[in-house]
Amino acid sequence: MTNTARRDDVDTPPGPSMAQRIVDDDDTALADCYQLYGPMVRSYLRRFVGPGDTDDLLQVVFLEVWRTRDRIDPSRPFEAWLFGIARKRAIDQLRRRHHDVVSVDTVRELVGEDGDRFVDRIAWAAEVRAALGQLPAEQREAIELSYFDELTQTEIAARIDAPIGTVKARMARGMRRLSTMVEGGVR
Amino acid sequence: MNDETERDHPEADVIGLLTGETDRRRAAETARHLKGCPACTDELIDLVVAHGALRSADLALRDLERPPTLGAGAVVADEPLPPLPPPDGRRSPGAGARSRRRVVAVLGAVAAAVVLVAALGLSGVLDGSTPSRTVVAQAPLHPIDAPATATGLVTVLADGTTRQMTVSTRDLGDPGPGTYYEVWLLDPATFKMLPVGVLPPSGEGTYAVTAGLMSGYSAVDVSLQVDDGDPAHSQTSVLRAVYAPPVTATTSA
Repeated sequence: MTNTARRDDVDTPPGPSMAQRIVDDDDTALADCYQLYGPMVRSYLRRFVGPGDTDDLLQVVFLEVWRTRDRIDPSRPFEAWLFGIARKRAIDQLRRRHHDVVSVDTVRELVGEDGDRFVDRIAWAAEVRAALGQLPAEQREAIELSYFDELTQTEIAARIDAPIGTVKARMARGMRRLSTMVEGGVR
Repeated sequence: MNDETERDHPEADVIGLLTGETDRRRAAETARHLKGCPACTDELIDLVVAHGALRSADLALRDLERPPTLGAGAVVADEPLPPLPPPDGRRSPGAGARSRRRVVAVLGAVAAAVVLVAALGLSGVLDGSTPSRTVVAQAPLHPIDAPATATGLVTVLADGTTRQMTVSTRDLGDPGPGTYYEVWLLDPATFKMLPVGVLPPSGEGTYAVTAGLMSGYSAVDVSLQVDDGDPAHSQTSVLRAVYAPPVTATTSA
């Protein structure tokens, strides 16, 4: 199928993946990784360890990513690696508080098969969000407004001051590319 | 639709169908068209995959932002991230995470002062009264949040599978009313901690720890604790000693 995307929607070839940049000792990779994934990792940690310990643990997680970067396989989803570390550190933190009462719900979403499923879902969501970040801005905007802000196409058209056909076209182009990234392991 | 099908197949509104923003007539038109148009069917597959991924991400993010327990407060997406400390350039397993607020710079200097007696084949009998116990590690305690003159020594003796760890401090000062010093084993790479006991007022305490537990850590940390019933580390470390190389990272995420 021919892609005749307009100039402002031009798909640019993706650069090296975040995992590859980290493995390659890219000077800015850790900072970029922290900015990209930090908010989600923090939400994940805070869910289990509470606000008091979250930020310290957040730093521990990202510094551990950097420290263990020689074990990262860039061909595998980086997000699974990252959230795997976050999960382990959250479990460690709760174990340290062996005198504290930890709710059953909290433990259920952290350990065992339920914990596996939960962290897999979060890592997958982070992967999708990261993939969205690689789309041209106008495609990403249309998709995010639709799927994450729950605006209708009419509302999106009004928000971005564009015809509804343009909204559909941007979404379709972006979703096509997103599908390709999903099939190929995102990056 | 791709750009070709957008132009040539205007009757197919797959995006509208996926987002639930089409009427009955348009949905039927799209369905009829898709059944006879391989190009649009291929397009549909791509869009459905992306739709599923986006919906999955949206649902997961909603779950993440839903506090699991009262007071946990998981919604922090809009809060600015705390600054990330500069990482050590070394790769694992030789380098540790350098993240805790107070102790980052001290660790490197302390690590250099490690005395690994047994590992270097220098184990010896302490004295005649304890012939079966050998010194397996000895390391100086360095001040962190403590007077610069505060110091001390950690000595670890082996007796079979038991490790007898003696922590001797000097010039640490009285902890003050309502506070006390506590001794911890620490893995600086992960900040995993194990409380081993309260440091007596004399400034010297001896603690029995199994060799297996001891091997999971590489440093001894002395903290200043408030007697408030909270058993967690106060995050105020006053002395620290590194008695072994950093524990080889075992994370296999």
